[in-house]
Amino acid sequence: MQYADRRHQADTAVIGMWLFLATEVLFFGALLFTYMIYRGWYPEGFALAISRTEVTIGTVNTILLLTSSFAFTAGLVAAEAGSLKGCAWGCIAALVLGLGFMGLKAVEYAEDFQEHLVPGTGFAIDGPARHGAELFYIFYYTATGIHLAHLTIGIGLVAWLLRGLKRGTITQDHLTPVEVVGLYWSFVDIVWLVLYPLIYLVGRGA
Amino acid sequence: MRGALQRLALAWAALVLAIGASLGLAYLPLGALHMPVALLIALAMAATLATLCMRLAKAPSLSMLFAIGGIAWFAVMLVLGETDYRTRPVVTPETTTRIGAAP
Repeated sequence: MQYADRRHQADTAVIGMWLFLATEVLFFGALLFTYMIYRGWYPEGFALAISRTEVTIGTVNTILLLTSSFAFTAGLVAAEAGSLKGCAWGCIAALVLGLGFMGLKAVEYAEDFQEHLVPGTGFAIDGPARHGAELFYIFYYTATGIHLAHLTIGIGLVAWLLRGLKRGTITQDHLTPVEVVGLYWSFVDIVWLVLYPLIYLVGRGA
Repeated sequence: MRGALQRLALAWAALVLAIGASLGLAYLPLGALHMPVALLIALAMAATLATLCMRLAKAPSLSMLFAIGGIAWFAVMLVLGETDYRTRPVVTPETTTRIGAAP
């Protein structure tokens, strides 16, 4: 027998997700480390670039993602109390808020492109701070792009949960998939909570 | 269930306020304190999510070990890496040009 009982199986899945998330901490950690080094080398360029980011969109997106995590958790609490319908509503809310985040991010990218905030020829910021500002925007597109990829996977997983809830493969006795996807979803939210001040805030007021 | 949902709602409201505080502080003349203050707020919010949404305290003990392990190895990478980069001469395109131009 692979597992002693159902709880053992559930614990193994949860522990497996935590192990995966530990590797993700190092994956995003390397990005943050790079940011810290280049920010130390080019403080003026980074401050100038940060002052050009769309802080309103960034702040609204942070609230959207935070709300999605709490909506999902509320769904899990409802499921544990016996309401699979409540769980489905939590998943739907997280899904909609996640899609809202992606939509606003698309608007933000479009504005960045229109303002020529793309490293390379024709970059909007010129002068001695240009090199640092370009490095910031390389970080910006890399970090937000990788975060978006993670969010896309999260949205796919939540959609998969909704399918399972509809088909009856996720039941009151088998909520492990909801628990595990919730861990991943909240982690993606935490990554954004750390990226938010680094991209939109620190250096804005100088 | 009602109690748990109320706790979640309260925590959510507190974190939205924390986002507002982080945004407001960004416009104050804090100088070098901007980064540590912003990161402290972000880490406090992350810890709240890990506790309430990821239920770290109630998770199997191995989960706690992996969570601490991930953060510990990240701290090691950050401290050793920063020590290296902060204690040796910086070679950037600008300093390379200066070195090249030196007599």
